[in-house]
Formats: sequence, C-alpha cells, structure tokens
Amino acid sequence: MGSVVPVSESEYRLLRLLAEKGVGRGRYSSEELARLLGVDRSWVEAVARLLASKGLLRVVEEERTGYRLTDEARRYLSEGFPEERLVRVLAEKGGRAPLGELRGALGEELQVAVSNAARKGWVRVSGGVAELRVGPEEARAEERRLLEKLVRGEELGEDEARLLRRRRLVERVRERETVVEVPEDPGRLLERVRVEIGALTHELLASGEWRRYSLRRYNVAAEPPRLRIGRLNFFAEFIEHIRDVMKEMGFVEVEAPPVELEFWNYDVLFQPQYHPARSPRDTFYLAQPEKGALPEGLVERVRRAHEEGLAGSIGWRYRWSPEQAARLILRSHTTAVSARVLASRPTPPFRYFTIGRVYRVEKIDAKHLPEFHQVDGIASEEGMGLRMLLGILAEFLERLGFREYRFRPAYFPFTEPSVEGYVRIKGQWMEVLGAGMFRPEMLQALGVDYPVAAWGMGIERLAMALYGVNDIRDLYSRDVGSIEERPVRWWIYAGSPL
Amino acid sequence: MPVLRFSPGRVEEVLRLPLEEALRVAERLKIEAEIASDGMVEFEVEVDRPDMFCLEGIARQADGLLGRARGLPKYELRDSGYTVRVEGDVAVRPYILAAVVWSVNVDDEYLRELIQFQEKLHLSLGGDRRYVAIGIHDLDKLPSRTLYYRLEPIDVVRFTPLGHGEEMSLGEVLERTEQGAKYGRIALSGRMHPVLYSGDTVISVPPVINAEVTRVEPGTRNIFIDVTGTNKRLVRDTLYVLAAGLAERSKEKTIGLVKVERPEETITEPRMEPRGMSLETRYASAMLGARLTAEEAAAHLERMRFDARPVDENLVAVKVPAYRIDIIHPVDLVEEIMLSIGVDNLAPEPPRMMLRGRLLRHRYWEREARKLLAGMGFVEVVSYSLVDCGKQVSIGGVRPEELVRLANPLGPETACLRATLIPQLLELAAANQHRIPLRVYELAETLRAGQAGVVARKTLGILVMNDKAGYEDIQAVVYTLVRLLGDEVTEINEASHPSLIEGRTARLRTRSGIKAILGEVKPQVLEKLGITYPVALAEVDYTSIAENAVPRP
Repeated sequence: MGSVVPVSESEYRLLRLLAEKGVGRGRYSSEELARLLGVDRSWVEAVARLLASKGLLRVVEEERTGYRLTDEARRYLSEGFPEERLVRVLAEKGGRAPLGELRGALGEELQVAVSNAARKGWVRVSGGVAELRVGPEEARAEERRLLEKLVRGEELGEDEARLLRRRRLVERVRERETVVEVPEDPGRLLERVRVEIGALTHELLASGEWRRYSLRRYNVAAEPPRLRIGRLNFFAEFIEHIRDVMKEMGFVEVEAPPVELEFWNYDVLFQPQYHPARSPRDTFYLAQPEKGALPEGLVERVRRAHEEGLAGSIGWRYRWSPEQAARLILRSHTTAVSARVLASRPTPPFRYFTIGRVYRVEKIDAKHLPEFHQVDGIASEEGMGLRMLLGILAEFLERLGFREYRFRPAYFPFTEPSVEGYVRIKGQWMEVLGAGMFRPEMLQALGVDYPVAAWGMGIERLAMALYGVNDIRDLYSRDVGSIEERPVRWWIYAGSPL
Repeated sequence: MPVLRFSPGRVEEVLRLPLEEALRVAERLKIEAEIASDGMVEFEVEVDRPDMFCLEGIARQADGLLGRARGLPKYELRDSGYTVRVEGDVAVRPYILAAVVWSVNVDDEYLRELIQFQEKLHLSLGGDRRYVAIGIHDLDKLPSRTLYYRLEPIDVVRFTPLGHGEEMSLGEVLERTEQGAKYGRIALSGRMHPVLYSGDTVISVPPVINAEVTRVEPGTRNIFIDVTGTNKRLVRDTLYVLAAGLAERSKEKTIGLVKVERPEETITEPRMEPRGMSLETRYASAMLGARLTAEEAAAHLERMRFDARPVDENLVAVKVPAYRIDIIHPVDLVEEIMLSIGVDNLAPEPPRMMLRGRLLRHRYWEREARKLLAGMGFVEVVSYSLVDCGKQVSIGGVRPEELVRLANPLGPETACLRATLIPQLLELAAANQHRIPLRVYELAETLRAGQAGVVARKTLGILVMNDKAGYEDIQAVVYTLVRLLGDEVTEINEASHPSLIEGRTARLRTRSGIKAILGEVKPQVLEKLGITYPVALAEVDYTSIAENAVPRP
C-alpha cells in the first residue's frame, strides 16, 4: 500500500459515503452514483475528479448514444396511447360502437388508434363498426413499457429502439457521461487517506482533534490580501521631521496663530505700505474681524523707521498710516512670528524657529495653493554674520540629506544682505529657501541692538520633491486609501545623502 | 519679481559678451537668467533694482564687475530749455518732474525694451500707476518748450489718445479706451482730471495715456520724459532711474534738465546728484563675517559703480549714484561688497555655540496622541484651513459672528478660516464610503473671532464610519486616548450640537483641562451629505496643554 494521501473534508466525505452505502469496486456513471449516495451529481463529479487527481478514483468521460422522448411520447405516457384510449372508450360503450360515434372521443387520433389497435389484435373493424377483442386491462401498449424503461435510465435494445423510433416516440441523441471507476473497496481507500484542513482553530487545538487532520500546503507565493491599517500622514510626518532637525540644531520652537496684523507681517519688517505685495491681489485681508490693536510701545519707532529712517537709514520717506498697519490679514510668511519673537528682545545667544501655515492669493493648481507651510528660523550669537548664516543653512541642508547645494544673492525687503538657497534633487536645481541678515531699520525699531540672521523655507515644494508628488494638492489628499497605502520614504529621515 | 525679456542678440550687443558669459555675469548681479522656449533671454531682476530693468542698466553694472569701468558713471547735465508750469492745485496728483535725453535713437527692438522698462517701473515703483506714472514722448514732436500741468474738466478737453485713430473727449477716453477703464479712476476728481499740455496741445493725461501727437516710434531720436505721482520721492527716484537708463544708450550721455515751476517753488531736475554715505569697515566685516580693510571695501564698491574713498582704517566715504534708489542704509553697501566678492567665495562658517533645542510642550502630546490613534486603526489626514463659511455654521454649529472671514477670498469654498473640523471630516467621510470601516483624524488649529480678538484653539477631530457606528464607538476612542495619555475624564454631560443626535451627544472635560464634544451624527445630516453609513465623531480641544508659544515683549 502506498503512502498516506491528504484529502479535503469533502473528498473524505465522498469516500466515506461510498463505504457506508456499500458501493463496491466497479464502474458507475456519475448519475448512478449520485442516486446511490443520495447527493448532488455535480458534487459527485467535482469531488471524484479531485480524488482522481490524487490517484484514488478514476474518472472517465464517455460519449454514448442515447434516446430522448419526443413531446408526443410524453403526452402518450401521461394521457395514454391512442389505441389504449380507444379500448377504454369501446369498453365504456359495451364493446361495440360505430366509428362515427368514436370520433367525438378520439378526434384526429381516431385513425392512428384504430390502425394500431387492429394491428395489435385488440379491435376488429368491419362495416364501419369497431368491436373490442380483449379485456381493457390487457390493452397495455408495448411502447409504453419501453418508454418507461428509458425513463428509468435503462438501456434499450436495438429492436426496441427501432420500434419507438418508427412511431417517432424517441429521438437519437449523443450524450456525454462521466464514469467513475472505483478501483478498490472504498473501505480500503478510506484507510489510505488523511483529512487536510485550511486552518487550525481554537476548537481543534482545545479538543485535541487536530491529530486527525493535516494542514493543507499553501501556494506561498500567492498575493495576500491588503491590510487596512492606521497610519500617520506622510506630509505631517515630513513636517515633524523638519521640527526634529531644527531642534537638533539647537533651535527652540515658537508658534503663533496665522491671523496677523499687517504691522507684524509687513511694517515691522520694513516693507513700505505702498509695496505691491500689500494689496488684495497678494494678501488675504479679513472682513471679520477687520482690525486689531497695535502694540503701543512699538508704533512710533516703526513709523519713524518708515518715514524718516532709523539707525542711519534714510527710510522710505512717505506718510506711514497706523490705520493700515492695524488691519488684520492672514500672514504671508512665518517671518511675522519671528518678528514677534524679536520684539521680546531675547538675549543672545539664541536660536528660535517656527513652523506654520502661511497664505497668499494664488489660484489653486498643481503647483499653487492659497495656503502652505513655512519654517522660519532666527539666530544670533557672537560673530553672527552672513558667513555664519550660510554655515547654519549648510548644516540644515546637510541634515536634510542634501550634499549638493549653493547660495545666490537675492532680495527681501527685510534682510540685507540676502541670499537664496538651492539644492540639487535628481539633477535639477531647486530654490528652497531665502535668508539674510535682518535690516538694521527693523532691528532698531524693535529695540534690538545685535545682528540677527533669519531664514525661511516653504515645506510643500520640498516634500513634493522628496516624496515624488507631482501635484501639491496630493499633500492635502482627501482620498484615505492613497494616504493609507503610500509607502513611507524612511530614508529621507535618515539624514544620509539623498 | 519683474521678468524682463530681451533678444539674445541685443544681450550680446549691449553687454559686449557672448551670451553664455552674459548670463553668468547677470547671475552675479542677483538676476536669475534663463532662455525661454521661444529663444528670448529672460532676466528676473529683483524689485529693489529698477535701475536694471533695462539692458543698459545691467551693462552698467556688468562693466564694473568685468573691470571695464569703475566708480560713478558720468552723465553730462545741461539745461534743456523746457519748462513745466504747474497751474493751480493738482491735489489728486500733485508732483510732476520731467527730463530730456538726447540721441537715444529708437529702433524697433529698443522701442519694445523701452515700453517694457516703463511697464516694469509702473508695476514695481508705481503701484500700477497709483503712486507714479511715466509718460515718454518724442521730444521733437513737442509743439512747445513750455508745458502746463493742471486739472481740466473731462468733457472739455479733446485729443487723439495714443494708439487710437480718432479725437475724443477726455471723458470718452476714460470710458471707452482700455487704459481709461484700467487707470481712469486713479486721478479722477469729480469731473476733473490732470492734463499735461505742450503749449496748448494735450500730450498726456497722467496716469492714463499719452496723446498720439508725441508718439515715440522707430526713428525717434530724442526723448522727453514726464513723471507724475502722489509721492514726491518716488516721482524723483523714478525720473532718475529712467533718465540714467536712457542716457546709457546715447553716445554723449547727456541729460537735459527741465524746470518745474510750482506756485510755491521752482525745481530743476534731474540733477542726478550722488548721495554721500559712510561705511564702517568694522560693520561691513561683521555683517559679512569676513575681514575687510578700508582699501578692500572701497575697491569692491568702486567695482559696483560707486565712488569710494578710504578715510581711515575703519571708514570709507561713498558716493551713491542717484539712480541707485535701493541704497538707503550702509548695510545696502555691504550687499554690494558681497556681490563684488561673490557669494560663492564666502565660505559658510559653522556656528560655534552649542545651544539646547526644544519643541513646544504640546508637540509631545500631539505626537503621542497621533501614535495612539494610529494604533487604534485611525488614518491621519491633513486638510485645508480655508473653508466654506456656510458649512461651518450649518454643519459645524459655529455662530456666524464667531467666524474669521476673508475680505478677498478666492471663492466661497475658501472664504473662512475653520472654526471647527466637523464639516470637513464629514465631507471626507462622504468621499470615502468605498472604504468601510473608515477611521480618520486630523490635528489642526481652529480660529474664532471673539470680544478679545481672534482666539486660536488646538483641535483634534476624530471620525468613525462603519456599518454600525454609534456613540459608544467614539466614546471608547476618546476615553482610551485620554486614559493612555495619562489623563482622566472628570466631567461628562449630555450636550446638543446641530449635527449630532440628541441624547447621544456629550461634552466632557479632563483633569488637565482638555474639552471634547462627541456623538452620533444625525441621519438628516448624513442624508444631506449623501452618506449612507452611520457616523460617530468627536472634536477634542487640547488648548489647555499648549504653552504660551511666542515670548511676549
């Protein structure tokens, strides 16, 4: 005897049924088998094929000639053959009747009934009168017996089939038949198999039943189902990463809400009130509430810085309006927060940073949003000047993983000198940050008498470049699936060369 | 930032350099240079340098960097014989100055550059003509050497505006021409508008349009410039920038002075007088972080086209040309030295101090809360802070007077700053009904207007949507979060919210002052949003955890 063959629960069930119902060795059509076992034929075929693939049974597809009842045959079976009905009618009429009287009962089939009954010797016709020659119980058509045999699924002999075909009671059809061969006693087969299951369960383990079973082999390379999980948002994580880098570099975090006085966003930063950015074309103004209170102590010095200049400057020489400075806006840069920090006149050495949303009047498209995030840093210590600022920027960019970067001269209203920082990402130079030394007019208006370096960077563009996102709106995706399934680019956070 | 377009041929001709080298020099002058897809050179010049809004102005600086010239450029000044009389009080636009530049010799290409120069000045210095407007005329077409500037009734004055074939009244010009529609209201005072005459011929109605009669065209040799405006200094600065830029194109570099007679004074401009400034080398060295001697500083400034003379070891006397209107403080001279040295030649210097960095205290609460929520199967979303005002009220239950509203929103969907996260979370749920169960959260700042101004709140929104999602499902999340953050719920009461089911809504408070509202969303609200699954949500206010973030003065 061969080795143990693993089978499924249903395969086992078929073998057990064979044994229980005493189906011995031999050939069975699936139909026959289904009838013997009292189960569905399609189930028998499917399971027998699986057992055949394991060499326990054999399944053969055979083609054979069969006969199918015609509609007429079915009608004869249920209503009686015409000759049988003729006999019944004659018996009711006392054994004799003129043909004319019979037409009412048999209609168009009278002719067929008379000729068949006469041929079979059940009736004799003479002078237009039919006379019964047999008892009604004897008049059973041979064809009926043959048809019933066919219905029971039994084979017909050559002559029998010919008889039926002549009367158009059957049609010949080619039939496919599944034949199951049981090669040995099913009881023996049962001894050779062991049931295989898909998974262990608590019940199997707790009851010790697991011993009866073996575990099905898996296609271990098949794709598993996708898991639904909780996720931190990748863009939020990128912002946290920037925070960590700033903290590592000795910066202390500060923050302020994005609703700001024009004063802190522009005036303190020495941006003249007629500057083109200070208009509803670039800056969002508030309708509710419209105005805020200016910080009393600073207003006069900021006015002088603009109108006549401070700290050796000639200023912008125009009439500065406190009403305009008191208007509320959505901050256009996080430097407004840095300005507020400086107004507290921190004692050097210090490094502060903030990350927050900023707002600009921009039409929404793949590259622009009316709101985005900025990081802004300020620093002062002994020897702070442009080269040290470049040193901080270089360190920052290196810690973000950039090894190729450069600085170019630039202009910002509130810093001088000013530079822009560029990094190379996938062969492309990309402007990422602006920096400079705060202007003396601004510092003096705030009462700060030491040099302060400042820099700011938009976060979205960098996140897009590093995360391979082409549309800025995808950073604010409402498609939870895309957030959940976006692979994390953990190496961005490693600080090693990108 | 102004982007100027020039033909490559002109760039090479005026800078006297092969194109590639010209672009490199431009970059050292903080101009971003690019070749556009149509082959034109695009120079992005910073707004503080209107003197470089023309090629000749760029060449003036490039000559210095390349060692072809040093010190102040020389312009010869002589009387033009032209006078502008300001008659009466032109209060809406009181200031006018003018200049003449000879032998500018306009051709097709230069005409385009001249118009570009003028337009960029209008946009940057001029506040789109509100503060300053420029008129450029063919000098030889001016009918008279005496000009008049005064207010006139718009129905009386008639002339043919530049680029229009027919004479019309000033009123019609303001109404019917494109420039009239755009700029016609700036200086309009009732039915009166400023007009500039040459003799008795209208040559300009600043800041709207010139007259056809003095049109500058290819073949024009000499130029007359008028500058009008509301700010005296800006008017003068603009005139200096223009006159010097145009003079650079002429061989003789001669600028003609124009007398402006006002009732209270007579001024003759553009005198182009350089301004004196002193630069301490100690200051410059400190700002740059590079040691400079007075001689070195002076040499750098000379290259940048200033006159500079060392006075002593620590002091350089500098003369700033009149067109360098960006130089208002010695620190601006430090930048010039930086440009002369080149940023690439200033090695970054690592900071010397070790300082202790720190994040805000509530950042750590946020980080732990986020991790716990992720552990509970929630996906973090980041969404816009600009939202629809109406939904904040109808779905979010915010009182309209509490909303922070924009005066100039891009559209109704972004007209308010969010005061609650609930409407956005529900819209997100509506858009993600193919992902059941949905568990999401967002951390954000919400803003409300109050008596004491705008108040910001640290807010955490949490939403659960599932085949079954009820009060307990969200309550369990909030309680677990509070407990695992080392806090405890100290108070919880039934509450009402327009979007939440009565009797299945609560407000709670924790020991550390965190507040939350939580509940099951009303089927009416879900139906209105097209949501066919039950939703439960919470809004947590953790402002009490946050520290006062900005040091106050």
